[in-house]
Amino acid sequence: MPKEVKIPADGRVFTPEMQAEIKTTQIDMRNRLLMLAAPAVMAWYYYGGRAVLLIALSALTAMLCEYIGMRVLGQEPALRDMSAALIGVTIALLLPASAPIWLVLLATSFAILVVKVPFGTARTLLFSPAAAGVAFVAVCLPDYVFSYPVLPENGAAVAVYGSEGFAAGVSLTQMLQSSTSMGVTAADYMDVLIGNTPSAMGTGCVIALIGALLFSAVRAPKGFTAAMSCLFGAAVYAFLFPRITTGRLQSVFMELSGGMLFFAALFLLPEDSILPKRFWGRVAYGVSAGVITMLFRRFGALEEGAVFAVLLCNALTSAFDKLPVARFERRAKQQARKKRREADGAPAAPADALTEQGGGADA
Amino acid sequence: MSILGSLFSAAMFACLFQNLIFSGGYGADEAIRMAAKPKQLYPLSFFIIYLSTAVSLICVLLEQRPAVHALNVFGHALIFVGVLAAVYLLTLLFVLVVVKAKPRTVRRLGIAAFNTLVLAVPFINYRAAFGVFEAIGAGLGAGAAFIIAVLLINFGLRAIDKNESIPEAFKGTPAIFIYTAILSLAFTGLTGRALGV
Amino acid sequence: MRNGEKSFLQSVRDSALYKNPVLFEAVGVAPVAAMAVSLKSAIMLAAVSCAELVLIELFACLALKKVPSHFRMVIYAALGVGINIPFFMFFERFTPNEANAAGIFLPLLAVNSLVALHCERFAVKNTLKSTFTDAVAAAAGYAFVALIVGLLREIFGSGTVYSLDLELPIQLKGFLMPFGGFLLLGFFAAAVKGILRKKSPDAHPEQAFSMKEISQSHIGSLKSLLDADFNPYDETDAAGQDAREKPKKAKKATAPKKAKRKAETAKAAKAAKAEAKPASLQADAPPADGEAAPTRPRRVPREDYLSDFDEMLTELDLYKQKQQDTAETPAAEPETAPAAEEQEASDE
Repeated sequence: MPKEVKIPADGRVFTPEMQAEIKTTQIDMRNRLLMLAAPAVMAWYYYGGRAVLLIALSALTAMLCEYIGMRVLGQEPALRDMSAALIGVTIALLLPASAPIWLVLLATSFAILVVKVPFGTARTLLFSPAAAGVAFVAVCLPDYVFSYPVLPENGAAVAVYGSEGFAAGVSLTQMLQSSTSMGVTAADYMDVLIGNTPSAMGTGCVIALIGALLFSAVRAPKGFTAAMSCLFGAAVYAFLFPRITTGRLQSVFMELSGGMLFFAALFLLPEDSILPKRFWGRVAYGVSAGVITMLFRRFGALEEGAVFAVLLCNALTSAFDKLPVARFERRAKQQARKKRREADGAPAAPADALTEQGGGADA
Repeated sequence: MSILGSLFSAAMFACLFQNLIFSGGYGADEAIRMAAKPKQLYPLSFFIIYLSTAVSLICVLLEQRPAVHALNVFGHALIFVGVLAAVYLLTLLFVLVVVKAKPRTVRRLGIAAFNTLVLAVPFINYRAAFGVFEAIGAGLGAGAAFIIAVLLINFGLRAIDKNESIPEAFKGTPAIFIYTAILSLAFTGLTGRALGV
Repeated sequence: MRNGEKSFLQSVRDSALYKNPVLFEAVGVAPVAAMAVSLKSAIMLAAVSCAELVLIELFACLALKKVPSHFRMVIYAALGVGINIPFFMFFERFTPNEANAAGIFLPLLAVNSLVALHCERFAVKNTLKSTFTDAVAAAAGYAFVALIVGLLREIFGSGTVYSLDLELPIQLKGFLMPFGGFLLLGFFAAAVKGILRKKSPDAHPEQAFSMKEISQSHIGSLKSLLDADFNPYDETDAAGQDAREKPKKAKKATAPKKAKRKAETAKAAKAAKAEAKPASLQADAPPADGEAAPTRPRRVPREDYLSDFDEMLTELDLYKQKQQDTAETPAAEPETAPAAEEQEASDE
């Protein structure tokens, strides 16, 4: 619980509490950057130097915007918590390789200057900045955001600095909108799994995203819960209301693999400061995001609605937090507290007796 | 079923797919101000739903008369405000004389009646050439849109109020407006455009 | 005379900035967010709103002080339409494109909450001169905001200024949508607030928008929701209104009200005693033989109570852990301590 601190004129002071918070955020951001490494590497594999350029410029712009924004407001920017860099990388991976550089910078600037800086720090966000940045450019300039290039042929060079050399392809979400199936052969499925389809830079390779999902199961279990719930909700909707006629399972595969859904479930939903604190809250949060994404895809004016669904669910976090505490969560907390008290050597407090009574009542 | 279908689809459009408050801006100030007084949400929303539905229905029925249909926009504006005033006065009479309500209830009725959201519904029905059941649906949807907007903004206001890290320049209405802007951005994803009528 | 003019201008300027109706009171936001998408439409909006505000406030001050407030609302709407229509006809004739683009918002200005709020809060309770000052100040503040927002939205969204093409390479259509209006209002309010705070550090324009009732729950019994007092304009006016209404009802209401209050406080005291009983906290204090069992306190949903208690304990433990961790890193402290001491010394 940080106290109010008068920041001196040079602004180079963080209280011990703030430093501790920055350290915690750093660890979280490092984990998420590691998760992003997989789709980033695949983006480099397919798009070469262009992907690296866009990712690097986006991250640098994000850090610069945070620095300038915080300085203008008379606050000390905490760039070393790496949240700005993470936002920049995430936004770059959500946009196509054919997107002009200024589009990526615009999205990143909006994310930092409008969604992050006015609400404080990375620990006090109210919305996912990356989702808001992409949503902004999607609404303002949909032709750029949803125009996915055909992947270059093997060995073909990709223009690093120009966006004109790309040929427009048809993405999975565009196929779903026109009720076109992707094909039923194993090669078609394999193409989708390895990312050999027109898509945004980081959202195409499903195998990379599955790897990131498994990583989050180990290192960020709370985010994993939300992500899996999102995918589950979307899968159930896609199974019940398919947009193609070649089978429900293929509908599920296409809906989950196409567009920004999988990426958003992994990297936009589990924003630590916004994620609901309770297990059932996270499940409801994830399921709602998945279902709302599918509703946006079906009824919305744009072909992709994951980022908008994430923003809506961010606004509903406090409602999800009102869901009851899961029994295993309560027991785990009680046990952790008991162990800490035993380690401290403190006498058993009356509260322990109370919680035992409560646990007994539940049993 | 087609009656229910048209009613339901008009309500869904007014409430979600073309949310009158976030995608159209109608009634935004009432929503923001009431979000800061959450205890007034349901009493006020009840009046808004009642008034928007009643006014919507009466205006659509009047629109079916050739004399009214032939009027230009000014004429329609006069008719709609007149109907709103008449419905309000009749309701006021009922509330004061029959129910003998307290002054706070009467104040709620006044605020619920004269706002851009309630008056926008008959205009939207007129421009979209809605029938009777679609008009009823639009009225109900407007009320539901108000409830959703107030709840969403109220969640944000609570979070903003607790957030000590908000820079001094953004404390208060600046943060509230930006929060509402992002919510509006989220709803714009459904419409893809401003709800210009 | 000069001092009188100066104070009028000063009070108009102060009211237009420190108590700006749109930026700090969140009134009249809808027309600005939805209609002011270009400089021309902002001029239309400003003109109509200013005329409505000044004329209706003056009329309310002169003629509506003795009319009950629930009838005044209808009169404001009727007057609003009456003032609106000539403007609408003028714009339809001379700027038909802009009038068309404004859509239904031009007639909707008849029920602008800005007018009702200022009339109820000020016009019906004050003199003509101060009402005129208030109306001019509010109109100036509203017009100022509408024009700036309209101009910026036209530049960013359409790449033009007053329909003159600026040939900008990018046009962000999103700014023509309501979210663009809310966004610009937010940043505009922050900028104005920052400038005002620098000029007068004691000013707190954010206090114009009351957030006192935010944490009240919207869920409750129907009776409690209907019984909740409602002051849509502000507390002093509600008190003033109630003060006018009270003398008529005071004679009837005082005695039964006092008795009611006594009964309520007695009930509340009983309930508090029953809840405060230590029986539920003392697990190791069973009632002695022969003693009557203590009466059960009011039933509380145990799961919610336990989970809230658990959360508080967990937070406390985490805080203690953090304190221990930071105490173990002494390297940070020597850097911060001298800087903090220097700052304290310079402040003194």
